[in-house]
Amino acid sequence: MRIVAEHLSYTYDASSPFAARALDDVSLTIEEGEFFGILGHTGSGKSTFVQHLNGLIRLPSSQKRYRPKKGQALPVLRVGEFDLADKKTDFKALRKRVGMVFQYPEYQLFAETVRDDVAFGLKNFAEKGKMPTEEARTEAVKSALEIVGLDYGEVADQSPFDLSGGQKRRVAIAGVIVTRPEVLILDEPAAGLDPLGKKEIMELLHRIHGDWCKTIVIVSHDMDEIAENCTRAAVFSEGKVVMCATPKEIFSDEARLSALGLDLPLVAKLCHALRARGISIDCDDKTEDFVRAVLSLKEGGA
Amino acid sequence: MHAIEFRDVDFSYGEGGFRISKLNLDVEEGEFVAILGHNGSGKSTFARLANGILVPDRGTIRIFGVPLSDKTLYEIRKQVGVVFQNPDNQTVASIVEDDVAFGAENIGTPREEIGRRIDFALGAVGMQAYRHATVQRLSGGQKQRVAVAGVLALKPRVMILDESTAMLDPRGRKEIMDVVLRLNREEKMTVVLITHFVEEAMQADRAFVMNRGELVMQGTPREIFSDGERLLTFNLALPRISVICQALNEGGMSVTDTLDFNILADEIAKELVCGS
Repeated sequence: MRIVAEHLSYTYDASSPFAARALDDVSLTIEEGEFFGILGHTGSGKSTFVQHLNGLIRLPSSQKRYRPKKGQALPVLRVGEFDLADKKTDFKALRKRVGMVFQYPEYQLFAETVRDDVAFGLKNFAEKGKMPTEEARTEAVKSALEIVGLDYGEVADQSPFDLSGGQKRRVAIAGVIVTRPEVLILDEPAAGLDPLGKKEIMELLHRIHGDWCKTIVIVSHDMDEIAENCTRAAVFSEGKVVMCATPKEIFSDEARLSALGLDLPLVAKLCHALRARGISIDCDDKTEDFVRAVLSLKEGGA
Repeated sequence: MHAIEFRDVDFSYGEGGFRISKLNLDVEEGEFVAILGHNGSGKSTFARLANGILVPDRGTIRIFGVPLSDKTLYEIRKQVGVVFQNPDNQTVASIVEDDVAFGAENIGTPREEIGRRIDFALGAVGMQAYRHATVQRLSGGQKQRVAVAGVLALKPRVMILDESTAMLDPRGRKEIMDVVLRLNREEKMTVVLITHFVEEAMQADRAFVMNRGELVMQGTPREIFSDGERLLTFNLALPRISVICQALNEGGMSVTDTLDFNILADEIAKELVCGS
């Protein structure tokens, strides 16, 4: 499912003294199959934007009482075949296909057992009279737990609250992907975990990406995470998309990023430092690529 | 005098639960110490033992020489302040100054003194301008600074930060680290920082590594992070730059393990130029 947003704006508490413009004429396209990153400071509009993508925040034109004003550019938001600007859109069907993992999703675990927690989405999204059978549910829960790296036999009957932090988060992700959404959006999936937990979460996202969820969108503050994992990324600042390109292109513009108050990933810093020392190095901002590029320079020179 | 002294401390969360065993650890007065360890290594348990939220099964804990016991508990809690991870769980009042005053009011500080302490605490964290603001409308980093101010209003001699920057964005993390460093350097406050972030731990005088409830490494942060192989055995990941150094060396180069990207760039440049 391709995501197309045009002229998206949003103001919180619009009619109050606390009115805050969170999105200001945002246009952004995310292609099917991408592992897309969204960067920016707190308050830059990242979360507001992603909440639009499965209809948690609705466009004015999709609301009942909406009357268009003359001469105003209408915002467009399409996710696959769903037109989110349309009142008649089936938002439940949309949400089944666009999964959303919030920040600290482990705080949303609630059931007595891991099995019930993961199965909740299956029941919740079942169409009238089409509740999946017990066996089908077990099968789905089992494969969701497996792909997030948990052993079904071991954890299914445990209370999710008895698991470690990293495990809880994986259960929460399993609970979202169990309905096989085509697009998976994660708001800071690795925040607050220890380094190993972070690594495991990113590995599991790569396992899911492709066959399980075609498109993955992550919101992150960690430049290294974006550089290592994403096909493209957008930088948000004060409600606008100020850059949208591959990580390599984004991180090559050091001056622009530092004006935005954003740091560079380590590999980009090293590349800039090497170029400043007269060494021309060309590589993606990934650890592996960097090492390969340096080693081949060494061989080439020797 | 040791600010914090743990002698043969045993603690367990009930039969078969997580346990800390034979923990011996000293933090000196005025020191800035970082504690590292994977999730579930016992770091937070240490923080909770140090100010009497948890009581050890065996062993002694002394704070500035005073053994922690039922009788000294309230005195010691005034001296050891803890800031936790989630900014939203640590605010009790809706207005910033009320929130900062809460702890000090609880311990019966006289009214005029509370006013002075609010001034001091908000000044120390750089939040004077927000004295009458609504806590709910602050950013994560600002809320966490208010939480730090609430602890400062108790005039503690030791501050323990239990992953207090984990939920913040890079800017918020820096705000907290700046405050903590200033308190340590200028007010000579003893600071214990529990963290997963290498760049934060690097700023400490000393670092401890915990694993399965035991203290397994201690030294300067540089010493600790240069022993990558041991860190891995304790389920800690290497800093990304060390991973790069290692991979380069495995590929036939010889660069010294460093945590400074400029030094690494120098080394790589030197080797590439010499090689040609």
